Amino acid sequence: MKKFRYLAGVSTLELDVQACVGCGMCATVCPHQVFELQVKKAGIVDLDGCMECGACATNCPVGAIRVHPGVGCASYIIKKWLYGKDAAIECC
Amino acid sequence: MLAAIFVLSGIGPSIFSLSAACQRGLSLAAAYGLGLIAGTVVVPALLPWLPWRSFYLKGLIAGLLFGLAATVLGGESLIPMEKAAMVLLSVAISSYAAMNFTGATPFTSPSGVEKEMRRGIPLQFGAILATVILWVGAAF
Repeated sequence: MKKFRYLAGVSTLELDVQACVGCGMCATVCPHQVFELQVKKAGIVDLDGCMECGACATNCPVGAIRVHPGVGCASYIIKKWLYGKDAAIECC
Repeated sequence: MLAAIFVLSGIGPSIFSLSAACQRGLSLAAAYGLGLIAGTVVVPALLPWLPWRSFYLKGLIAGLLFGLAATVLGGESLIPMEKAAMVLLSVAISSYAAMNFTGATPFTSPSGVEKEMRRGIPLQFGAILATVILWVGAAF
């Protein structure tokens, strides 16, 4: 999966290191090894590998991670532009 | 889309010609079909080997090659304006179709897809517009 890379410098992922308790859950659930536990705190080691699935933010017990999660689907984004976020159904 | 292709192909000096719609329409429909194959079959099949990370660019290059193939298949009766229109249509269709495969991969992010769409869609729209102008213009 490391060989499959998408556009760089676009991810909305943010980590509040101050709030992090170092449980390592984000590193466990991330499908792209974006996080690594460094000296009892999590760190973002591969931001451009992030696919904004939101698993890290969902599983963080202290809410130290912020990301705008969703599916990277052009068809869904077109529907969102045309009919609004609420009307569009995540299709894939 | 195919209906639009045949209507556009029929427009000419005699307002509308049914024989031109069939003859010229077939060439443009071939370019459309090959563009669709490039975007929906070639791009997903060769995804890791096609250059660039943006799907619309991968579709663009596949569509360009298939569009050129369509002009060769179209025969010698085609004039350069028609050939350019065929290549542009193939590129636009292939690029748009390829872009729609972003939802079928486990590594594309919504922010990235939105970024490439903001770049890709104006290009695809421009190519379609240029196709219409060149194709209708070539009949006169």
